Amino acid sequence: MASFSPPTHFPATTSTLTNRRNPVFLTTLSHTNNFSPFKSSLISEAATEPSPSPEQGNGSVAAVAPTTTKVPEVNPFGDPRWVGGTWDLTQFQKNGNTDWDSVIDAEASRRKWLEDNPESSSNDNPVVFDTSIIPWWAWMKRFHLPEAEQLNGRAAMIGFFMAYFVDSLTGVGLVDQTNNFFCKTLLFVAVAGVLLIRKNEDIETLKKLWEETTFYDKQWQATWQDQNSNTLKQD
Amino acid sequence: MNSMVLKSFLGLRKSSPETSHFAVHQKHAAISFPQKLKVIAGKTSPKLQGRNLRVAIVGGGPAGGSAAETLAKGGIETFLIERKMDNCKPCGGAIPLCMVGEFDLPLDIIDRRVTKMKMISPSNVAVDIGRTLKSHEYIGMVRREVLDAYLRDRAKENGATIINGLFLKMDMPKDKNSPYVLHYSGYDGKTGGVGEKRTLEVDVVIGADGANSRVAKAIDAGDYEYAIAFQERIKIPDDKMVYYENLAEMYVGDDVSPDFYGWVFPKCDHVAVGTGTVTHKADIKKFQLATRKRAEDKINGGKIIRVEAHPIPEHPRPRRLSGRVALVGDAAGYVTKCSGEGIYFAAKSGRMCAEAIVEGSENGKRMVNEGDLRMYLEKWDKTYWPTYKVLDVLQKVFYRSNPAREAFVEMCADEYVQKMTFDSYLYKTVVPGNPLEDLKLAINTIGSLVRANAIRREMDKLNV
Repeated sequence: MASFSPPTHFPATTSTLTNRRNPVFLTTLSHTNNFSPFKSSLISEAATEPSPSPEQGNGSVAAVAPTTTKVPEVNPFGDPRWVGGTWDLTQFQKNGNTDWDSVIDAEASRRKWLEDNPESSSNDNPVVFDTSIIPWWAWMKRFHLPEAEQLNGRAAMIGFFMAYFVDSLTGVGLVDQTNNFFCKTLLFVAVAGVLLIRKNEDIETLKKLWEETTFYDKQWQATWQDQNSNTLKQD
Repeated sequence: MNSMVLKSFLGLRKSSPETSHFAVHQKHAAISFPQKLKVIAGKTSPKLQGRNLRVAIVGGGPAGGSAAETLAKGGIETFLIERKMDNCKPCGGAIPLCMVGEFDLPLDIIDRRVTKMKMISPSNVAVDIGRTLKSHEYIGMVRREVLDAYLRDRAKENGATIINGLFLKMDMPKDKNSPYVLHYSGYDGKTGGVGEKRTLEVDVVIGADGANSRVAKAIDAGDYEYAIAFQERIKIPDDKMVYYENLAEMYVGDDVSPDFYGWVFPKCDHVAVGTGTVTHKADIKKFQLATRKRAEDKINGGKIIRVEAHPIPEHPRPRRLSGRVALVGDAAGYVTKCSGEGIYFAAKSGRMCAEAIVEGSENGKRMVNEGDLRMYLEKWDKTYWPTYKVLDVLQKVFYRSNPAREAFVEMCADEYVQKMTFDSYLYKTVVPGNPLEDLKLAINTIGSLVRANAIRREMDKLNV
């Protein structure tokens, strides 16, 4: 059985190197001629970045304390609530319960920060946060319910007026409409349509998705298409 | 109907010595007859008189080497044309466990056994996979020059003729039994300088000459989309090398590659740090810098000893077969999506093609035709299509965007996923698995994707 312990704490030599980390790395770059233009751009990028604190990234989240600057160049992500590679839930308490919404906000801001300023992955400070610690109902409440409310509201309004128009045009009342097979089919189509197509762009997206699912198959079968045309020629 | 068949067959047998010497004018009528029969069963091909079937393999990599060995063992006169015998190919160099057994590779070919992998998401969430591996399971890291040379030497031992030369072009045969004439520059131990122009007449050609295959061009096989893989070999200090003793890393993220991944693979005494892309080839240097940045802590103090790049086919060529010419390996485009694995499939396709030729020619006694070679394609597609399709779906779903990649890394933490992934990778079969676990996995995958995309929407709001 391959007993495997995650490679955690490396000898202290790595930490002594951190102060000299970037200069050493830059000198290794200079060894290869190919990368001199990149080397200079890397240095200039490092020099021109003062210490922008993560506050600039978080519009909506309430006061985030300024980071502790470890290295003079780009600041790595830092937040007092980010402890040991994960969010410290005890700092997200509101009225005795965990405020999941602010956890979601904090994680969004962290990811945004890292997307704009990618950082080195470190064995000494591994990131172990998993979004599944946030309970499902928090996600539902925040993301699913507002959209569902909007769609259901729209569906109800349209449904009401459609029922009224059909009644005024054909004289078939609401109860008789629901019994009619044609009307039931239309209702089904309407529900499916609303679920799949919420914006105009969704139509294009769906078409592209369909093409995508079969594209690879077509590429593989291209050589067989060829054979069929060949045998036809022979006969 | 039967008597007609026999008549034409006998007629051919009498005239076959002449066909092998290119005198074809009166043979057209007799030869066109069994055309219809050939579509049904290639075994009605004429018996070769006085000689065995001749096959030339262009390209001496894993595909060419294993094809040559199988053909030579099957009693066929085999010629393997390779332009550079000590070619140090740029390559990830990872082979699955099953390859060692299936191809009887000696264990000293394998420089390293990777038993742990680390997947790192765009936000640096790191997940270790490999807990489910048994003690005898590993991913082998090899040096291509060692592996290729071994396979070629083994083919030579079995009777194949290895020719050091560069394939130039090929003359198509005039009819179903005429040979292909290959033109190549023979080097023959002459160091440097232009080789001597030579020709070689063979009955069947296998194109195993890689992503920029000349044989493919000769048969008008069509083009494929390809990824460019860029890799730097970096010698890192010994204490850092300990971390990569048997561990490989995979970095995903838009900074590292928009449609592939960045990697750090351990080699014999250094690491290979690289990345690849299909859609943004012009930005490959930028992606490479980003990959190095992400791995910075772990490769700090390293010296770049070599820079290399190579194309990786994304899908098979439109035509993998034409007449009595078949493509195998990278020349055919047999590289999987998602992981970009090609060595095993190259070797296996070379072997499968050779087996089809051996069978169709009854150990070299009969001429083969396109139908026999199509058997190889049929067997290949049937055996490996599920693997390719599954990896394609995985790539489409999980390499799409940063949220998808975050979900991907989250899913990799699950033990069931790790077990399924390794089982299918190491043994090259799509394992069905437990349906209940599969359902749980599906629900978890959807959950991960939904969460990651939801956070993405929050991130977009922050941008505004």
